[in-house]
Amino acid sequence: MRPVARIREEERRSPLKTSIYLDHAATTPLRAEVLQAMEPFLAGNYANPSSIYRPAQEARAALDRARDLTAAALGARSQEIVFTGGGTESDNAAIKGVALASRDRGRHVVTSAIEHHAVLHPIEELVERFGFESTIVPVDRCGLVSVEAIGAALRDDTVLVSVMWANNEIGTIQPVEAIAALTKARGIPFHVDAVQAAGALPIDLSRVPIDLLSISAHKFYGPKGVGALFVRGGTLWWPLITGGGQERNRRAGTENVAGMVGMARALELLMEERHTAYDHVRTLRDYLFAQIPPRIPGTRVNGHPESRLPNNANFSFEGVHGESLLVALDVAGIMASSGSACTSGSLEPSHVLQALGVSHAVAQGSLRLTVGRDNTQEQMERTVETLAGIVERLRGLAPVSERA
Amino acid sequence: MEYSPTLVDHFHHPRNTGKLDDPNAVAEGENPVCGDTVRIEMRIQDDVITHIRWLARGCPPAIAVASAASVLLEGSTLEDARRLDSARLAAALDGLPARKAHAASLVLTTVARALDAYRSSPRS
Repeated sequence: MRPVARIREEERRSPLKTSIYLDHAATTPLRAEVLQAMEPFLAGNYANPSSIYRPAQEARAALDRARDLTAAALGARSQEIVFTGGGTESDNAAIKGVALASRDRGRHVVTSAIEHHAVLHPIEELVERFGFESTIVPVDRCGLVSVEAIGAALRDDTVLVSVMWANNEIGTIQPVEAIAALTKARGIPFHVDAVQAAGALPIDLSRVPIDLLSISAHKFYGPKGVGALFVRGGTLWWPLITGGGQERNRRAGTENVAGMVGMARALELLMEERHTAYDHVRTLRDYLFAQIPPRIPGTRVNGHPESRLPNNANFSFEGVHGESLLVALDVAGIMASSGSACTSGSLEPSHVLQALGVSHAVAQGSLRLTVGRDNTQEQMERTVETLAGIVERLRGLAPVSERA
Repeated sequence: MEYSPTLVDHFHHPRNTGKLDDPNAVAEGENPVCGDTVRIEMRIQDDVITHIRWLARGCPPAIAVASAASVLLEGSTLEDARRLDSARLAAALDGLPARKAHAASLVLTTVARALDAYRSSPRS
């Protein structure tokens, strides 16, 4: 049988008749309720909300309502919400916007070693092109950054601290509330990349003195290409994108009305379901943690045992390459992700796992499983069984000296 | 995924895996950067590779390349075996992404070392 036909046949015969999506940290499916809220502005009302006629005013009203809902979900005021084109733009706008606006006061920024590239690369840009200095604070073996280490990194010329609320690969939740108290006391703006946290953890900016916060709609069942940046009133900050006067001169460009309405609806649903939403994913994730290490010898759990996102599991399997796991899982109909950057062209494992101080081999064998609201207990059971079989097969292929 | 169905098939159903009872050409290789390892065992008789088995740890292309190489090498003369190159391996897999060229290099250098070991062994 031809290879293509054979794989198709295996997929057809697979006991997993439908695939299992376990990559919710990468993106989430659009909820039907969200699509429903967006539809009037995708197919019907195409007016530019800056125009004067009545459909435009309807679009404007929908935008205003989306902003109010987004602000309410984050414990912010409506005028503190800037809609953007996603998490990466929000991070760039926050970091460059604060640093460049404050460059006469100082040129030093502080961040952690396990930030997303959407934070690390803008900071590198500040260093390479604008004469800034950066301090990259290391993390411990569980991925936690210490508040004391952040405090020790602060200087008189520090103009920005940026630490993520929760990490995208290992799910470690950082002590952002304690860092916020510290930066507030020192009068230094504090940016938090909450792209992974929003949707998985409650965020209340009326309680925590964070100055800027990034979110991205597609991480919590909203559309892709839409995000928001919270900028606390009084923060010295320059907009990244200039042009028209949209977003009160803070983000130029005709508004993505449908996207913003969709993000707001997704946040509204999160708020409505917040007392139960996290329990389901936590139960399923805890099942993976309870089952996989005893079922598969040579398993290591990456990340923090307690301070971690409720939907995140990250494992390394001794003697098994992460990408091989992913391809084998894919053939079995299970969609997952790896910390291995091998897939993105580099032979080096991810900077996050390297920052934990784990060996090269452990970092390369990592598997990230991130569960979501549509996953079921039965899917978790199938995942554990399938994974155990794949690890056994791959270990059986390894030269003897390499076996666990 | 940018891998061809043929590559995925070799990864999923690797050919000629395992060890031989009486190999007379054996080598192990490792890529110290990515950690891929491969062990190749061959039985050579009258300048022909009559049997070949391999074991490997690594990314899907590392496993697929070893599998495809074993298919190409079994039954071939030593002269032909020496001529095996990454272009033929890539063709046998219906394509190998450029960033995974190291997978082919590891297998080819290990094959060459096994053949060298055979040539310099007293039995040959």
